This record gives sequence, C-alpha cells and structure tokens, in this order.
Amino acid sequence: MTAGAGESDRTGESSPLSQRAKETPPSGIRRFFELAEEMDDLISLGVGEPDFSAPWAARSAAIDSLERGRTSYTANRGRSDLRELIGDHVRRYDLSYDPEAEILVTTGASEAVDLAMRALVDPGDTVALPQPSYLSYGPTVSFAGGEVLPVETRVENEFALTYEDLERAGADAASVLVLCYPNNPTGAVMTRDELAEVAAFAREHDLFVLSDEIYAALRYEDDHVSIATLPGMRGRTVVFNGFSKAYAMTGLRLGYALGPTEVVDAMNRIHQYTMLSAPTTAQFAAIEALESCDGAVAEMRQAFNRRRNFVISRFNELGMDCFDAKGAFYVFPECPPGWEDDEEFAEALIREERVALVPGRVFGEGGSGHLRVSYASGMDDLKAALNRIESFIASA
Amino acid sequence: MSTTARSARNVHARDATSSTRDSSRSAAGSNRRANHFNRAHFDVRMESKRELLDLLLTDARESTEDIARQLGTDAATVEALVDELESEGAIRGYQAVVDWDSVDEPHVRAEVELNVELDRETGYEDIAQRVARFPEVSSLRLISGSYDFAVDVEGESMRDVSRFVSEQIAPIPEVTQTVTHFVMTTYKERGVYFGDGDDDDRLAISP
Repeated sequence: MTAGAGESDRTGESSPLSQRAKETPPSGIRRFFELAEEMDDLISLGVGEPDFSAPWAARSAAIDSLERGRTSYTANRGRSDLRELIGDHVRRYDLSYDPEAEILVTTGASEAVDLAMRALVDPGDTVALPQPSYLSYGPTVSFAGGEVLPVETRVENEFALTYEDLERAGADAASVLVLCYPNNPTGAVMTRDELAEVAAFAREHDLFVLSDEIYAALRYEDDHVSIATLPGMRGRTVVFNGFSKAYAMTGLRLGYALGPTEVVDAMNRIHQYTMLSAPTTAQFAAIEALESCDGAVAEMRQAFNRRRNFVISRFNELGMDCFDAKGAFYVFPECPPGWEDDEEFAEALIREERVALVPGRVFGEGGSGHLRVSYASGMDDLKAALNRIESFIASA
Repeated sequence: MSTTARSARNVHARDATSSTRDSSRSAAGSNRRANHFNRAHFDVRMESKRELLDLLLTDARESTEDIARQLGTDAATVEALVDELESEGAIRGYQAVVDWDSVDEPHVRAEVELNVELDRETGYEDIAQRVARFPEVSSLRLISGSYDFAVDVEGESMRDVSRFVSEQIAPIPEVTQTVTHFVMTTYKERGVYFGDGDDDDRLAISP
C-alpha cells in the first residue's frame, strides 16, 4: 500500500494529537445521530433547534446587507448599534448593561460560554454543573483546564436546582456555577424564589455564576427571571443569550454575553484573537430581529406552547409520566412502565417505529430513565410520532 | 382588541400557575399530572374562544381531541366552545383553501371595483344585499378609497365573468361604474403561501 493521504502515513509513529483532544469524548448523541441518518421515513423529535426559519424581516435585512457589500469585520465587541439594541432588549428581564463595556456579541452563545470558561477558570478549578444539562458545558470546562463537578437535579423538584442539590454535591468547593434555565434537556424553569436559594449559596461560597438564558423568550406560563437581577448577583454573574432559539436563527451563529466590565473585557481579549468578530451578516439580521420581530417571536412561542400542551397530554395518556415543563421546547418524560433503561427504549423505538428521541442519560446521570423530546416539529409530525410511540408501547 | 385579550389571558395563566406549582412540587408523581390538567382546564376557561379560533384558522379539520390536547382541555369543552362560536355567528363556515391552478377544471376569478351612487332611499346596505345574493359573488366588501365596493367574482371563463358583471351587476340602478381585474396568478390565499415553503435541512439529532 502506497503512502497516501490519511493515517497510513504515520503508521508506527505516535499520535500527533494533544492530550486534550484525545481526552475529549465524542458527543453522547453521536450514536443516535448515526442510527437516525440511515433511516427513511424517520420522525425526529431529537432536534435541538426550532423548525421555524428566521423571521423574514431578519433574513431580508441579511440579504440587504450583502447586497450593499457589508462584508467586512465589525468591532471586536460587535456593532455598536447592535449592542445598544441588545442593551434595550434585555431591560424586559430587568437587566441593565452598558453597551460600551458590559456587552459582548459572540459567534453563538456557545462561543460566549467558551470565552467565559477561559476567562474565569484556572487549571484545577472546579466548575459546578447541574445535570441533566446541555452537552457543551463540560467540554468547555475541560478545555480551560478545569474540573467538572456534576450537581444532580431531581424530577421531584421538576429539575429546578435547589440549595440542597448544591450542598449534597459539595458545590461549595467550586469557583464557578453554570445555570441553564429554561433548561435543555428538561424544559425546566426556575422561579425567582427558587433562584434566590441558588443565589444565596453562590454568595455564601463565593461562586461566580454563568447563566445560559438562551431560552429566556420561550417560557410559557410566567416571565423569565435572570439570576443576575437578584441582590448581590449582578457583579458575580455573566448572562448568555442570543438569537438562535427565540428568533430561530441557529445557523446564523449569533449570541451575546452580559456581565461586569472586568469579565467582559477579559472575554473580549480572548475573543479578539480567536474570533475577531461575530459574523457581520448575522449582526445585520440580529439588528432587524431586535427592531421588528417581537411579533414573530410571540407567534412562534404560541405555536410551541400548543405543541407543548399536546405532547405533555399525549405522554401522560401513554403512561409516560411527563412533568409540566414550562420552558424551552423540550419535555422530559419517563420511560413507559416496563422500561427502565432510556437508551434501550430509545434504540428499540428508533429501530422499530422510526421515531428518534434522545436518551436522558446522555445529558448526565440525573437524566437516566428519561427521554428528551423536542417539540420543535410541526403538529403533523408530533401527532404521527406520538401515534407511533403508542403502537410501539402497545406491541412491546 | 386582540392585544388586550391576550394580556388578560396571560395574567390569568400566571396566577393559575403560581397557585398550582407549589402544590405540585410537594405532591407525588401522579398528582403532577392531575395538576397539569387542572391548571390547563382553568386556563382554557379564560382563554378559550380566542385560542380556539386561532387553531381553527390554522387548520379547521383538526380533530376535536387534538385541539383539546393543544389547549390543555377535554374534547367536550372544545365541542361546547365551537357550538358557542357558531351560534354567536363568530364562525360563519369552514372552507378549504384551494389552489385552482392545481385543479383540472377551468376557474376564473376577478376582483371587481364597484362605484355606486346613493340616494335618500338607498344605502350601502341595500346595494350590498342585492349584490351579495348572486352565487357568482364570492366576497363583497365596502372599502375606503377611490371606489366603494370590492367584489370577488368567480366563474368558469373570462366570458362568464364578464357577462355576469355586465348583465347582472352593471345594470343595478345605483351602480355608476365597474372595473374588472382578472386574477392572473394567485401566490397566497388566506394566509396560505402557494409556493415552496422553507427547506427543513436540520440535522436529525442535535444537542
């Protein structure tokens, strides 16, 4: 065999990969992704992004910016008019940040999470990570050299984080605490009172809080509360938000961080070398989104809410106990009676009925026995999927 | 009007939640489920008809059970609300949105501008009644601007439609002028876009 491209070149030599790369595990959803990819007639309720496209006004603004040749870099922190608009926008959550010093526009909220970890975590530092949670937080802690401390949340608390959860996990030893409410994968939300307990713990044990509020606009029964608005928290919190979920702009990759000047400055110093600036076209779409797309967001939220009611009703009818998840676009039902292992159930379901759900355990131990169901799909798909699940349970 | 209705509904939804959430926290598993329905049932009483109208406007053929699930209530409640909406005259009918270009049969539609002259005995209402009764007229609206009535006329051919306008509408004594615009292509009808929608190229599973 002649030496061509690829690994054969290096037979016998040691791997060029860094220890860090070697230690980064493949994503827990990858196996299901591969199973799903080979199926025809699959209905996937495993999708972590809206089925809607970005509001037309935002898309139109992006097109317009391209036609005008607005294809250069922006300021590192993002266009100043966009930061002004973000500053105005977040006032609806009682958040107040200086667009010049305390707001950073990033390439998706994901970049903001990574920047914050790098800005705040030293090798050996511990980051408390409530679980079940979105898959990316853990690896970004590792990239920064930190250690993850899982903090299990519980179904009896509807997966809201409690003071006791933090104590039980030993989170007093951590220097950073990650929050994600409304939550992916559970759909859980936290009220002001519940956040007050967490804030008390953070103040008592001097934890800095990274609060991912990307689903803030998708809260169905009450208004979103940011932990940064609680007494003594603004100075020890960075809030992440963005345009992906609320404005259905996932592929445009645009998010932002809000935080105290010192931290946002440090994040911007890293950002200016690694990203330079967030995508310019997306920034124009975001400006339009903030200026004129509240109505579109309200319509999407209403559609999500109906689907939420529908899937919660259906799962409970099927005997898959499903708590009343009040945010994001996920519900987190338990496996039906007779099934304990979420991964086995999900795999059998996809093979036999071609419905893709994500096993809860990939989001951390607290997720075992549950399934993440995304209702970011049209009603027709949701109805068909639930009918398939019903016949699967009946036949199993 | 709808804005006021919406915010009023939200207030109720909020109140209902705050009162059930605490009890659901302390309750055992089966009660969580019951609470979902209690809350939802309460919400529906408050939000009810407007929400139901929204759903029927999107898809009037949806089953009563599925409508009930989306509103978080039961089928009997939905039936009762539909009956009410119908008897109040809020819902006047249920129709398919048809793209006639995809139906193998001649179909022509025209938008006709109608100018009229009123006198002491004859008002808009009288003229409207006379015009609306023709089955060829599919919609009739009194509008502001440079003419009085906007009339949609449907028929099998342009000749049909022209003849109808000239023989039935124009001769009405109060009608002073008609301008007929034949529809060439319909792109969107009652909120339904006839072109291809957005592509859904999302990954089957994503975090």
